[in-house]
Order: sequence, then structure tokens, then C-alpha cells
Amino acid sequence: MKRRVAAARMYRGSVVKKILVVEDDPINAQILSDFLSANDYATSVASSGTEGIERFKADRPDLMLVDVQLPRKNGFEVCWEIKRSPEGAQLPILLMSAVYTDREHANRYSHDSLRADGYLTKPFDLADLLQRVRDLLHEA
Amino acid sequence: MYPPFVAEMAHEANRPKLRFGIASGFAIVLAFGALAALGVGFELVPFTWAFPLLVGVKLVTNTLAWWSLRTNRGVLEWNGLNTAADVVLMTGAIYFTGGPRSPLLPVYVIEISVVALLTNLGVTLLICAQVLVCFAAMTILMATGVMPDQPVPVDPSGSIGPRYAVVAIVYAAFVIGVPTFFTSSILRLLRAKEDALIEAQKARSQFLASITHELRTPIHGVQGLSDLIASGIYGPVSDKQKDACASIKRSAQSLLGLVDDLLAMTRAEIGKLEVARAAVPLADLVEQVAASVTWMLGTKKLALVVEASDAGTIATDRRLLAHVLVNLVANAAKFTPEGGRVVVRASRSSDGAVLEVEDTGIGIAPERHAEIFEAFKQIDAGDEKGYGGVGLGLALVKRLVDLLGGTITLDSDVGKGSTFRVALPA
Repeated sequence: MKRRVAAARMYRGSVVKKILVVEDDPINAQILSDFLSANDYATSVASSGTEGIERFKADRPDLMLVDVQLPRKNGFEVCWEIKRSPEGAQLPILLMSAVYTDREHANRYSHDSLRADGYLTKPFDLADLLQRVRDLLHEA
Repeated sequence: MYPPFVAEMAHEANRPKLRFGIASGFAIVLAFGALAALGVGFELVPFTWAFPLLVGVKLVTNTLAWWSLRTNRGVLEWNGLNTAADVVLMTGAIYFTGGPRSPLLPVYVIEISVVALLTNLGVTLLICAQVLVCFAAMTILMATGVMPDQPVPVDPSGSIGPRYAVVAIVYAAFVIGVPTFFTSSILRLLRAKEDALIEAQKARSQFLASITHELRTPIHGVQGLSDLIASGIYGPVSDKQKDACASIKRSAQSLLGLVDDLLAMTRAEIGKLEVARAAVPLADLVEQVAASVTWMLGTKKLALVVEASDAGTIATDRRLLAHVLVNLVANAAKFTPEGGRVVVRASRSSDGAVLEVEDTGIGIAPERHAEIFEAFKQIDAGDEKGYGGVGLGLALVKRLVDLLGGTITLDSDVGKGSTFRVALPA
């Protein structure tokens, strides 16, 4: 209850943090955006890697939640591309993927500064997601 | 009317083999004719009417067999006669070139090898018996003087002259060449079939892996949405609705467990399951597994006990080992009746680590310990309680433990519960 009050105050002070969800499965995208919205984040959704990059440039989110298996550009490519750009170098990015993906290792081989800030294995607990998001946004 | 191994030779699938056999029969008649002509022409063996007679009879039986295939009448009978006649005619050729001393003795081997490659075990044994009987009869009849002795082909000069050498070499080429030709063509055929099978198996596993992967996404949807509904994000929920959401989630989780097992199994089959080793704190891992399997206990009143306080760390693949433990606990929970206990234990051993999952369930008879690790074999509990499942979990456990370089043992007896013990090297 207390948290809700605090969040409401943040709304008035317009310090609502923006989260961009890049996920091609519409149901999963809906779950993530509904859940994050319910927790007082402003969310937007992109359904492909290229759209994710475009939305990043237009929306300037505070955090990105990116699926690894995406049409056109995959999650790693989206992450590398954004982290390489001056605007995106400091942006926290969380990658999500189903278990047993071979690409999981790909993130390990990339340079430190281009690596994602976290990795969530699907299916993840929504409470875990919230905790990771708060940690990355330096929220209590 | 005929034994199955004979009757099957008439099947459509065996027709190409019969045709192949008849074609080679004509080739062998030619070769034998040429050999006899050479032998007689070079005066290595005296002419006898038996030679053209033997070749002629084979020509007739072979033609009849060919005709039966063409008209599809009496296929078994005429082809059987053709093969049986082969042995008799060969025995005749052997008799007229010296009986048991004849250099033609190896032609029996040609016959047996061709029959073995073109038919089946039963027919081959039958022909083999016929060869032995014919040869023994001929030898006994000659030994007892009922059939007169016959001269062995020799070079008129008394030593190995050029004519003898030519015939010997042609004959050797014949004896060695025919079985080689048959063996290699059949082997090539088998190799091609084997390759096709391996390809098909790979494609099937590949397909299964991608389909199971696709199955995961909608299951996540079911899980996530039931969570969101239960949390009240979409409006107020009653306690009954919350319970229903929890049940939806449990069903989705058990479905996901099955899909994950299938996925891991097919990935292991196509060699796509990589082992990524890192230091894994065992106590931490066991706690995580215990937390993730509580839903499996469901409404069953089972106690889940964790004993892993000072187990230390081990270099292994955390995800795969967690999958092993989850499956073992799932198995224990499934076969342990209400009020039972499941213990997950981890400890260091002198040369690695030992993880145990112990239950107070129905137990497994020792003689069945080996088969429970085979895929899709679930031991029938011997009652009508009907434990569901396809028996994939333990097969996957074995596979994953093998991948991790460990061993799994089982200590169990009917009614005494089970303890699965996974030993991992350091």
C-alpha cells in the first residue's frame, strides 16, 4: 500500500521511468507491459529487433527488456548496437531467453562494455524481474 | 504352407533380389561354360557329356525361374528349384573334376555367399545343409566305390604349364570376384540405407527440438497471465479465483517440465546440449531446486527436506545439474504417497560431490533398476493407482549425468522407498 502511495507521488513529479520491451510474442509482450505498468513504469513495446532500435532512438527509455530470439535482428545484436552508440552506452539492458538456447553463450564473448546488464531465463518469476529492474534503475 | 523365412522371399520387396539372383545365375552359367570349355580345350580334363548337361540344366532352371517372375506364377517354387539345382549341379561339377579332391570345391562358397546376401538366415542355413548333404553323399558314394573315381584336372606336362596357369587364374578371378561383387554391392546398398536412416533420425530430432521450443512460448503466456490475474492487476479477485489461478499455473508448470525434458532429450540426441562448467555452490543449488519444485508437491502432504549446509562448490554445469535434481525430486514426489518425505542431500566426497534424492515412496524392485533409466519405460506400479507420465524424466537424468561425467546409482526395494545417488567428479 505504501509503495503505491510513493509511486503516485512520483507520477505527479513526473519521474516515471520508461521501459522499452522488445518481444515478438504478443502475449508475453502484453504480460510484461501490463505487469510493469501496474508497477508504475511507463512501458512501450517493439516486436522486432529493428523496431526495438528505432523505438529506442525515438522514446529514449530508461531501461530495455529484450528477448534474444527476435525476428530480423536478434537480442544480442540489438544490445550491441545500442551499447555501441553514444546515447545508449549507459542504458541498462536486460536480455530474456528460453532455456537451452545456444546463443546464450554469445553474450559472454562480447566485449565488457557491449554486454547486457542481466540475463533472465524464461520462464522467470515476475517478482524476480521487478527486483532486477529496480536494481538496475537504482531504486530501493 | 511354407515356413515364414521361405514365404517372405515371394514378397514384392524381395523381387529385386530374386531378379538380381537370376541375372547372376545367367552370368555364372556363362562363366562355368567358359571354364569347362577352357579346361577341356587345354586338355586339363577329359571331355564328358556331363559338362554340357550340367550347364544346360542350370540354363533351363534359371530360365524357368526368370519366366516365373515374369508371369508371377510359382515364383517360390521355381526360384527354390533353381537354387536347389545350383547345389546339385555344383556337386556334379565337383564330382567330375575329382570329387573331394576337386579344385572346384570353393564354388560352394560362392553359392552360400550369394544366397546369404540375397535371402535370409533361414534360407541360407537350408542351402548350407543341402551343400553338406550333397557333398557328404558324393564322398561316401565315391569312397564305397558306388560311384567311380574321377581324375583331378592336371596339366598334361605334369607341372604347371602356361595353359594350366591361364585356367587357374581365370578360375581364381571367378571364385574371388563373384562374392566380392555381391558383398560390395549389398554393402553399398546397406550403407545408403543406413545414411538415409541416420539423416531421418536427425531430421526428426531437429524437428522435435524446434517444436518443443515453440511450445514453451504459449506455456509462458498461460503462466504469466494467471500470475497477473491472481495478483489483482486486472481487477479484484476472489480467493476461489486465486486458487484456480494457482491450479492453472501448476498445470502449465507440469506441462513446461515435460516439454523441457523432451527438449533436453532431443538436444542431447543431436549433440546440441553443451556443458558449460563453472563453480557451483551446492547448497545454493539445492536450495534453488527445492524452491522451484514446491509446486510439484501440490496439494499432496509431502515434507521436502534439504540437507546441504556444508557441501562446498563443484565445477559443473549448473543448469543441467539443476535439471537432474528437479527431475529426481519430481520422480520422488510422484511415487511417494501422502504424508511421505523427500530428502535432497548434497555433500562433498573425497573425489567430487554426491547428491542424493531420497523418498519414502513405493520403491523399485532391484531387478528393474536398470530399465527405469530407459526412455519411455515407466515401471508399472502393479496396482490401479495409475501414475501418469511417459517415463522420460529418469532417462533424461541418466543422459544428463552422463554428459556431466558423473554416475547415478539407485538404492531401492519395493515398499522401502528409493534413494537416487548422483556422484560427480571434482
